[in-house]
Amino acid sequence: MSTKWPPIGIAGIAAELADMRWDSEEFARFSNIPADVLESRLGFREVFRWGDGRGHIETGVHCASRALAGLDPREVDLICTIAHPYHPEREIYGYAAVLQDALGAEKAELLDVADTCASVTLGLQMVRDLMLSEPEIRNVLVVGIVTTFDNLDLSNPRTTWMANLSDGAGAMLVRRDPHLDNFLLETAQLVDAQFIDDVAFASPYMDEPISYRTRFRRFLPAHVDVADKASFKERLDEVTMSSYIGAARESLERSGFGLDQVDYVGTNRMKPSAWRELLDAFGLKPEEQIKFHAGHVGPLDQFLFLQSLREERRLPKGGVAVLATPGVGFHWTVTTVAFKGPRLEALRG
Amino acid sequence: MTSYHIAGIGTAAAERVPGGAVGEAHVDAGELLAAVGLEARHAPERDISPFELAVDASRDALAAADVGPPDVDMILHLGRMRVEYFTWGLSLAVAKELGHLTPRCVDVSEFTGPSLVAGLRLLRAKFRADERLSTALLVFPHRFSDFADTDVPEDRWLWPLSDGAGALVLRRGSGPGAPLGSAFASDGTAARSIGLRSEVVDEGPDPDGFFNHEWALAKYYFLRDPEAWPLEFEVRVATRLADTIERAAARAGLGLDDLAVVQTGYLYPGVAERLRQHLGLGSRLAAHNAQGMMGGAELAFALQTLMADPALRGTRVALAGFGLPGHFGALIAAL
Repeated sequence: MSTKWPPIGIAGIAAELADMRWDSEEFARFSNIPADVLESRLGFREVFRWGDGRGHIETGVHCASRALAGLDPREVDLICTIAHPYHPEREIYGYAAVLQDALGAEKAELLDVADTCASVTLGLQMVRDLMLSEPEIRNVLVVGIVTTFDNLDLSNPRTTWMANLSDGAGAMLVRRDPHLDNFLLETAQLVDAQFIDDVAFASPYMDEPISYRTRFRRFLPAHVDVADKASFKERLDEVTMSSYIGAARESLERSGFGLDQVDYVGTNRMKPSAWRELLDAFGLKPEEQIKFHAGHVGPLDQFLFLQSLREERRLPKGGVAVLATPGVGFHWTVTTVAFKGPRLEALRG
Repeated sequence: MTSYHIAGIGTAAAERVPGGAVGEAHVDAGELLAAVGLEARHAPERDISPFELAVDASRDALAAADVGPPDVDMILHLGRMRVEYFTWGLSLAVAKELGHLTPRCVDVSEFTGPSLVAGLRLLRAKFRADERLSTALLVFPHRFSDFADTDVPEDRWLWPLSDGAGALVLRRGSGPGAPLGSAFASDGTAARSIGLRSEVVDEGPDPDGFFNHEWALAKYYFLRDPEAWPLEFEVRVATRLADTIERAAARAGLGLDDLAVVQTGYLYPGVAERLRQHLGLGSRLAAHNAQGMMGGAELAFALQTLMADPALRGTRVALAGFGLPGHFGALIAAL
């Protein structure tokens, strides 16, 4: 069975939340959203942002070092960062160049996949495609840092749905190695570009939101905003769950599985009602899944999921997990990961 | 294994500025051409967004390929993101503008090698991995001309920075432009050699109109060591680029003598000369400096000419180049 899939899998994972924690009571004071609403309706008890204790750049490098798990950085063939991580000179060189220099990964080629939260799945797909196409690529670091908290205006009722954004850092080593305990399998992506203008950056004193069509070059702070929340929500609600499930079905079928064979769903933090609806499609229950109390850490939710899956030994007999995430604009993406063991053997018949 | 061929090429550029008109108050035009290789650059008189450049080039490529937007299965966008033109994904914006809302869309904002070459390599992997992929649109805008301060002669090496875009329509199956082999390298330490500075470029705060100023803040690249950088960079690029070209040819099962042309993007004359000598290419090395430095998009202009040349039909060529601050790449294609 194992020889059917290319021997490409996840060899190391490290993820950390940012160093400053707000619980729901404190967050409620900032946002004017009652704590019980935060917990019951939006589904989080704490958010994390970068404080003075640790820099996000350094934390990303630290995670990358941990994910290497002893591998000589000079053996890294490719560094793929996700979601265009922020650093002060990003218009000259990307965070991947910072990592290459800091780690001493001198022969690594560089890549950044920048499709918001979908960067993790699309990045893993790009990495796997390259590894399938180019046998000389053996070790790939996938690294992300998230610094979105400062882009939120907590007093804006149009972006309450994003209020749970947290910051963090994470790294994953994807390796070509038949001895790994897992297979990184197919990714599926569904797209609906009608939403590209709905969520934008805006600033006080500006009549029009910032757009890719016109230049923004002012001193004003920029915050995520939604032009017409009611219209956006109505149109998105029509397609989001079916697109999510459609992407999951496609990813699983191309990997050789069905929706009902999934053991764990690693998705973006979402409100409990949407989480239950999504799990219904897999025949799964929320209480059986990994619980997270922190807010949504952009494309790093899936890193935290995989880390917990390992730390909590959730799949001692093997099985199937999916990494599922939408991306603003909008993408719906799902990646399948199969873990070796008797259960996986049984699923494969 | 043939994965795709190039069915159409499109290009777009901001207004052309002759090399002699760039920084003329500070550097003699002849010296600029001889040392920097600046034949011309493209920079908008007022503004042009990466989105506009990308859409124009995409429409051009689709028309050249005689392909309608609904036939596109995937849009791959390569280009460094600028906060001044922030978007969640330029590929999605292009899809919407073309009236085709559902192709798979991927955005790559950092890559090893010039954008055209890096994009061809990534799509080669996509075509190999997914048999359903039939038609892909590769688009790579570059909008950084305003990052070159043409009033600072020490930074004249950066003056060729230009605004433009290339787009390619790739279709499954054999045909001209099929990729045969590629090689890439990045030097993260090169990032230390170029900095970024910001300046207020108008009269400063005006209580009545401060928040409406369109051009309050400008960013410029600068060389941290303008005395040492040109020679250091020349040696670095010539060495690394020669290595990637040789490795790409080897991976294609070819020697350098099998290549009809080694077509590069923008090259400083000193780099071109070192590369020519190092590889023994003679007149088969062709640099494309006519559009300035577009991060690899200038190669789309050169590739249009190569593919239209009947004398090159059936030959193998190398497409190669560098991207600032230290990215190198080469891809061998059959024309």
